[in-house]
Amino acid sequence: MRQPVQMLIERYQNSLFVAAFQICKNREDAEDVVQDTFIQYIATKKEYESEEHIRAWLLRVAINKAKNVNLSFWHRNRQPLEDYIETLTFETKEDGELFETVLRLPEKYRIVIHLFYYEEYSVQEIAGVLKLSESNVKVRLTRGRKMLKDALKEEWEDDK
Amino acid sequence: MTNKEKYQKAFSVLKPSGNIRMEDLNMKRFHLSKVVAAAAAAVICFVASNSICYAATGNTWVEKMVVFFNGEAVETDVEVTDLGDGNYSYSMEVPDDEAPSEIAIVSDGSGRNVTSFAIMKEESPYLSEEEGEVWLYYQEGKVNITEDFADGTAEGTMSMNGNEYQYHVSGTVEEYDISVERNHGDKSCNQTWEN
Repeated sequence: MRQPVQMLIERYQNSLFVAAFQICKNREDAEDVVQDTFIQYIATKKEYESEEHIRAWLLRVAINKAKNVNLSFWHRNRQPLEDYIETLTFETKEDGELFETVLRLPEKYRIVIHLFYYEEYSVQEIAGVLKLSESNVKVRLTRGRKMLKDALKEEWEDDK
Repeated sequence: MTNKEKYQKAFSVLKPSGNIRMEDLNMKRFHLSKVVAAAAAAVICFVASNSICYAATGNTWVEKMVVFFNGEAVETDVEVTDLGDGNYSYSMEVPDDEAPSEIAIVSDGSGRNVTSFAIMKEESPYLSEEEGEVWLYYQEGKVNITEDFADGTAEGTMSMNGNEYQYHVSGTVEEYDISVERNHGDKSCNQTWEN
């Protein structure tokens, strides 16, 4: 199956932007990544099993494109993360602390944490999106959670 | 409030600056296809052993050479670099759509005999991003280098037709250097491509 691009943009633009931002840490780059991801969807004549399959494919492509952006020269000429964070309005101080703490995590833990807590994916689903083994995802999730707990103390619950 | 709720609330502040319009996607797609077309001329570089030693080392110069592309003699500018260890690096521009299957330099215009080597080149290696994964294509083979290439470099071995090829890739999917070395007997040839 395939879905109209316009419909996918409305449903997943924001989600892809946040995932790309997790890696690029930069609004302009993340927006470019989202555009390129939809362009790749248009260009790739691929049939999907379900809309969930499309969503996972879009996320995987966006994450990999964001990693490539980080390796390119142009990435270094963008607005610093600190400047961008100052333009954001968090509802509470704790929200801002959580936001900044997550962005300080090493990338490999950050993206797993993001897919689990933001996209609400299971370990098995994350393994599918990132093409990792489930045990690898579990390790990254555990280490990422520990880093968050160490930094945020009582603001972050112990996950089972 | 659960950790998930806290996380989603904290990241709810992240919004793209505007909605993507189909016109923007189509325009960018058209622009990208023009960039790819403009990049069609590739540079072929390779290093070849030469038994003749020269005094000046580390120098680079451009010479007119007769180069055989697929059996057809073509006089072209070739950048030659004396690597100082008996090896010379030869670099020349070749249109991608005329990618040769065999290159043999038979004259470098200076009287030196450089006919002792021939570079087989059935197809330039290239990177392709498919579904967000990075593949290295070379001749009839391909290898997934997504994880290895995440830090901007990838190294490994691929086997084809009974031959072992050692590859080294650096750069990005759009701009990369690929080096492929094939060992055969006591000789090896190394070719480097840039895109």
